[in-house]
Amino acid sequence: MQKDITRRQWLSGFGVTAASLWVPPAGRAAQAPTAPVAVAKCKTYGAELLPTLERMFDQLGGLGRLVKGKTVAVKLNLTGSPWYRMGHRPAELAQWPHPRLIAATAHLMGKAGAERIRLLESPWSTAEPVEEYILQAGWDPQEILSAARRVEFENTNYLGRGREYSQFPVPGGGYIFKTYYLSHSYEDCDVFVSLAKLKEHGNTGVTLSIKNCFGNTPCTIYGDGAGEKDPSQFPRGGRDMLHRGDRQPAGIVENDPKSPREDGYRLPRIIVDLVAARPIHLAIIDGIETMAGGEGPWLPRIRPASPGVLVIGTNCVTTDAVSTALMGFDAMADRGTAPFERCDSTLRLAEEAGLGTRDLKRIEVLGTPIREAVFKFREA
Amino acid sequence: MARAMKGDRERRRTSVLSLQFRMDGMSDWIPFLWPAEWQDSALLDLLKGTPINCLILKWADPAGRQQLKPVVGRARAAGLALVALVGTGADRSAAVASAQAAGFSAVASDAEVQGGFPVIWWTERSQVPWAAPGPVLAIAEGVWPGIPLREEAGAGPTGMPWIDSNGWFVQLARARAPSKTIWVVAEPPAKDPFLGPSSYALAIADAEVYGARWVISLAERQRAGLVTQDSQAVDAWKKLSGAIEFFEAHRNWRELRLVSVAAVISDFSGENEFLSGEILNLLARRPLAARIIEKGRWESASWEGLKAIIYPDPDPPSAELRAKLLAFVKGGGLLVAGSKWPPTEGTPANGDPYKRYQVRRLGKGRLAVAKEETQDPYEVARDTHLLLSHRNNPLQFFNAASMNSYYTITEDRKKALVQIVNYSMRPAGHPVSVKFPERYRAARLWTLESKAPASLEVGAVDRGVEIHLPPFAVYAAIELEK
Repeated sequence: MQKDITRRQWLSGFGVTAASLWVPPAGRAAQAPTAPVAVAKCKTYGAELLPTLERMFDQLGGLGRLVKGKTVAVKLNLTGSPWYRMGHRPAELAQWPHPRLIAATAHLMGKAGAERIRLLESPWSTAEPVEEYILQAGWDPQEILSAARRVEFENTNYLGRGREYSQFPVPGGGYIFKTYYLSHSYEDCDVFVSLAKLKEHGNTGVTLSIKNCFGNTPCTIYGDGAGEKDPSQFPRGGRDMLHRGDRQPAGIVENDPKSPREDGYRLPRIIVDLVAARPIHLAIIDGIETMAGGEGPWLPRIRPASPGVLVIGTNCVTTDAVSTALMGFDAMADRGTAPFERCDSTLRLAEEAGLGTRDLKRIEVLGTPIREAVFKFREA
Repeated sequence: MARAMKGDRERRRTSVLSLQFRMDGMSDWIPFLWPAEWQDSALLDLLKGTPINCLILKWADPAGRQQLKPVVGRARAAGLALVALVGTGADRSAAVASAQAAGFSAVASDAEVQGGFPVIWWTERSQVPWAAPGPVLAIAEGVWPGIPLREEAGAGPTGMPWIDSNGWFVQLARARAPSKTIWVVAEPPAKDPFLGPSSYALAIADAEVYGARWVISLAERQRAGLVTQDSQAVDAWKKLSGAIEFFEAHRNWRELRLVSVAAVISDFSGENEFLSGEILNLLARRPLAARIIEKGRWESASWEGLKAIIYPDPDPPSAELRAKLLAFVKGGGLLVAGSKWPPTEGTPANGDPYKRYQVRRLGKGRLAVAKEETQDPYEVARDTHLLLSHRNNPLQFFNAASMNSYYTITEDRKKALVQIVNYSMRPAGHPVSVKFPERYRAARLWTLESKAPASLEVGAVDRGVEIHLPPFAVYAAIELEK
């Protein structure tokens, strides 16, 4: 799964593998690793974006150290149908990361020596190319594809260009599943990046780099149209089985079929399993323009939000913890307290899985201090 | 003998002239299927102040005919055109004779009638006599427009609801009988819980937008409500009348030309009728409205501006049409054909993501031949759109999942019109935006309630413009100018 050279880099500062840190629950939280997180104010996706992004990567030790000569896979966060908008606001100013941020990231990765940059997404209920999907949002894929040498998209919602699904065992056995089966794209890379939006989420409290990886799962196995025993050829529908556990994925049985069939219980655990099995080396959070009140236009009580902030880190838990704090929430909160009113805390579960600490006292924030960039989502 | 023959010819000529005279104006009729139980001629007062000028009376039943005599008499006196909807079989002749005697203007029938009486052909979709004489064809099994309550309605593979619409068939009918007026007969379902004041406006828009007329017919509750002057029924009647007035005031919009980059070439009949028709229906939903080219008339059809052509019929085209289609491909077009397309030259090219086609590059274009004989119209529409690419969309909607649209332009391409029909009959949760890959300078909004258009802001975006619409329930039209 992980290439050796990447593993060395990972252990030397660019994240952690869960396998190396899986210890009994009692000791996990205290021993969970930390890594610095860069925070910067950035009001627009205009001229200030690229230099701000470059400065943040430099604060983290330089992008070249992570990507030079490597195949980089970037999981995007293109949730919901492309034609869905919050009011008249384009998706990139609400629920999706902005294409200029994606292009700028690819550009800087190319500049830092990345060999190949693969932009991954599992678009809702379709096997169509990601390029076709984003065209329907009004984006021009060419602007992203031309941002650096050898940039390409792949739809990971089905087998795609792969010959078989890749197995990703969860170190320690996993909360919900022991093993996840994903597109080859998540294996055929040296560096894995989660590029997500700074948003709340109805089932997981926050949508950040960890939640973004829910979309790693192909709907041919984990979706409504999946076969009972074998994956379907093409994806259809959403991932209700992961939300509610009303059936098992194609040919897979979960660890405890008697565990709660409630998405506030299941989803946080599944996404922690996923990032334990397919670790994130770099987490990039787009909080320049976004939405408050939920993860997509299909929810009630959503509204525009302009935090004007970017967050980047090499540990997904520390990055998401800082992002949660920047949203005006307590990263140490758990079920019953905002933003986790109806779900377990992904951050706690990830911390207990040994993926990283959520304790801000143990996280070094580079650049803009949290107190200077905080944007209270519940007051937006 | 010779004199007698001359006399016969003269009488026939007089009869034909008379028939022609009586048919003139039929295209302007706005038909209302008069409820059989409305035997009180005072109910004709409901028509005052409305554009309705034609009553269709169910005339097959002798007892019913008798009961409707007062209505017929007063309607004639008021100058309304009367059409007798006659039955089938032996009763038909009696009904026709009775209609003639009662001074009706025409009969609606699914078969020819004797006596030189003007006929409005009133037939099911598959039985329409496209070349029959007469200026009006009535399609007798139109769907009641809306979003059906079927279990699968909300869970289509597109993530968009299924919509029942007559739009595609109206377009097909206009293509097959370009000189005729098309009437859509779609009666309100007896047990539709969503049938309300807006439902009738929707039925009108669903026909008028595409250039046809809906034969006004009322649900039982509405009929009873109007008799008792129930306020909701009166409100629905006013909305219905207002919608007709709106489209009458904009009849010139029917002259505009469909904006399409795709076409379907088929005979649209027999065994090919379902597939080719549903492809039209499902392309329109994407929205990728298709030009309709009848296989027998391809030489006179315009191919200008086309980037993709679907040839779904299993039987091969004529040598001339095949040559024309291959020339289209070599010039840069995309041809999507059924599995029986004869082998052709070219080099293998990247296919569709669903792997349903053998794609070959030929000249500057591509030829995609289905791998399997059985074709699903949804898949044909989707795959064609993917092979063509959304980059070629003539327009793009946001938050319009419950809507269909009809995008037309003037011959000089300086003005355009986008009509949008909302089948949910309530404003979308988030308002609609439309993006055009064109540089329109000005835009105006019409709704069914508009007496005058409202200005819309035209926002410049990358490679085009975007227009944001206010919420609307049933219908909106955007007039555009370059």
